[in-house]
Amino acid sequence: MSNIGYLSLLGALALSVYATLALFFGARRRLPELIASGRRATIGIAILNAVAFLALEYLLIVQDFNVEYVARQTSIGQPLFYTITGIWGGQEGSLLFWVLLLSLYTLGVMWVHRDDAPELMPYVLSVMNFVMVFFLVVLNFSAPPFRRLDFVPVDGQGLNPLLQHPAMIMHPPNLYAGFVGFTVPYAFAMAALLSGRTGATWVRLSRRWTLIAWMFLGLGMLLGGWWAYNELGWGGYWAWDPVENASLMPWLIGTAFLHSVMVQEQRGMFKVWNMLLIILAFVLSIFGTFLTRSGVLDSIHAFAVSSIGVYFLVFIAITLLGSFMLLYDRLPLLKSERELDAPLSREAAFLVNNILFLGIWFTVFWGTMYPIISELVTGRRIFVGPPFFNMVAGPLLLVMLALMGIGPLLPWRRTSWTHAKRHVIPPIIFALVLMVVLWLVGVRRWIVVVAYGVVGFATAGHILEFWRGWRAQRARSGSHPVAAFFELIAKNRRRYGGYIVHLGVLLLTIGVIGSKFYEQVVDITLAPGERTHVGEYTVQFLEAEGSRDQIKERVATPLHLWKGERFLGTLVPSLDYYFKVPGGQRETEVAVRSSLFEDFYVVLTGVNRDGSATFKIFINPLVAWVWAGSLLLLFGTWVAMWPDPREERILERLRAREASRRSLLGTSQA
Amino acid sequence: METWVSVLVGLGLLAGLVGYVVRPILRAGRQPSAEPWLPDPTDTSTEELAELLFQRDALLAALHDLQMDLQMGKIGEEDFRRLDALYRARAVEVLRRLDELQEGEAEIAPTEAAEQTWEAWIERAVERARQATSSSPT
Repeated sequence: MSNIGYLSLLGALALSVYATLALFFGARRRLPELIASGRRATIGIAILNAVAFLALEYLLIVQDFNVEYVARQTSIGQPLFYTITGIWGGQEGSLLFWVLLLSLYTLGVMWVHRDDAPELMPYVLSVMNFVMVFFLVVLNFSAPPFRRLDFVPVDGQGLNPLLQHPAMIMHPPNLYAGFVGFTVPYAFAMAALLSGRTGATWVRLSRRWTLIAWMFLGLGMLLGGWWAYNELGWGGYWAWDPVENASLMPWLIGTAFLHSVMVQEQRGMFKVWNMLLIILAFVLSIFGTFLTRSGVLDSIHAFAVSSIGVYFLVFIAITLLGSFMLLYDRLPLLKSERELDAPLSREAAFLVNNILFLGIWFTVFWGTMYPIISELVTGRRIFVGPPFFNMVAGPLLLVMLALMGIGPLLPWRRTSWTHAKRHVIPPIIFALVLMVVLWLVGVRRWIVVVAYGVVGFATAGHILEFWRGWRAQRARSGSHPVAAFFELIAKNRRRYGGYIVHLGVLLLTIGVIGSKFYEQVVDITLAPGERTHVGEYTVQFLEAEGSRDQIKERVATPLHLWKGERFLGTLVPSLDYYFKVPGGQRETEVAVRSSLFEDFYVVLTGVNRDGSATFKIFINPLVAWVWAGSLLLLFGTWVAMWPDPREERILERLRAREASRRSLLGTSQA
Repeated sequence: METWVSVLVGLGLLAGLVGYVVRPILRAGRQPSAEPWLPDPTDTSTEELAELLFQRDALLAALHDLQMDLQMGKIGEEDFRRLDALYRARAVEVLRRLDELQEGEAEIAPTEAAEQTWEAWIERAVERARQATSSSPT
């Protein structure tokens, strides 16, 4: 089976080189046979990638330990579930998964736009296949997944225990779907430049793909945070780890792009800027993979250390150079149709929003790369930790939230100060009242009061937007109040989908502020049967229980939990020892009791000889709001990317025209 | 033995795919091409049509937003009238260019069902403005 995998990957590489060239020259020289052949080659690549992926899955399932990757990722007794999903637990498998996803995206683009934009599509596919060439080069020559060992080990090492968690099954696929997804809008942008057709078509056709990539990346980060919270046992969900930052960076730039591209659609402005943003988002998604997979920076993801970094750096350099040269060459085609009319307008707010997003991105980039930069300059690796990111990015994020509250209140083009005031003052009053109330109820940290004030301002602004929109919709349609609300959203999906996303961000921020500033941590040691109080809670340790299976030994320490007089249940934090991992590996299994307002979070840090156990207990306020906000954000994205019937009508119209042009062409050729 | 079988299966798969990929080239010239992605650099009419339709769509959305902004009190009457006239003038220009491409009429005429929709209302308004402009003496 590994031979089939080898040959498939080699064949896919050859076909991807061919498809890139055939589609490019087919479009340039107007050779229909070459374009048709390039399309078929694209299908062929997908088939071969799928065969290679299935071959590796088969080898993992049958546990052919002669294959190096199988020996590293699985072991006898490892649950089948983790053996199957362990394919993306290591470098070679995850790169193979990456090319499979890229193939799926490419087929998706080919199918969805099979009758659209003939002047763009061959180039779009050519660019996507070019990206495929790079990953297949890496897979064939630097990280081959089917490499065999000189011997057959009796057992494998097994999947990294940290990755044996339900969230880790979904986290990498979503993250990769996000990273890979940015290839699509990038390919559309490059196709627009290559074909010289830099009008509205590429923006319209790629918008939904950008949202899909953005949504997956967001979902990937959410699952990553959930995994970190429930698996790593340090009580948090975001640590500004380089690999977390690697996914945040393209997401930030993607967010800037999604905002500024609206200005291009509405006003014909920011055309060069949008090109720059999408190039940056794509390069950052490759850079993210580079950070994850090269091991260039120390992090908890250091299990991914490898030597593929050079390949990635060369590809990033080629991509940047090629994209910028092409962009420079096409600058005359990208002149703005209009100029900014007034500072009090939505497009001006979007401009500031973009500057802030870039500022936050640069902060994250600088902090992430600082160890390398400092080593290059001083010869010493200096790491900047969460305090740097919190101190620099935190205030920028607050300003961003304030702007997020102002932007929706402003119309396109311009408004008068009188009208702007009428909309901005009520949320300001609400924010001030909220801040006073917070102070009166005992919140004494000024930064928290200010931060919640900003969140209150933005939330009030958005709720007022919904209310005013609903009132206007009712007046216009005369519908039932509930129906009018849904009509409002259905008729303005992009606008109100965006507002739902904003509300999701605000909920998430409420959770972040609460859990960041009001976390309580205590270390306690309890003898069997002993009780103690932690805040309003009472915990009683029962007795340590040991168990063993084929891959690990476990010590579980059940705890009874009460809040006041109310019994909440039994929590079972545990310590696992994975003895098959070289050198052995100890992992904590966290126990969490979640509620809307706070989480009671217990980590077992050790069991002592006298039978007592030591725990680290966190009381984390408002963490549930982080997850709820993230889910609302995803829901809003889904609303915003729901197909727009008006746009569909336009595309149908264009398809019909193209079909009639082709039939005329066919008749004349016949 | 097993190795040889898997190599043969792999090579067979590759050979089949190569045949599938080169088939359009081998059959070139035998029949008219049905390739839907054949760009014609000399014919920019579809692209122009796409641009005009997207522009029209953006203008309709802008008129819709403007109306909403007025109803929500985000802009004053004066700004509304000025911007409304500006967008309508642009919409008329776009519709005229669509007419020139012989594409305008069928698309603009609203159906009975569509009469109820907000978009149709705007389209009718723009259409009236367009007719008024075209019938006025120049």
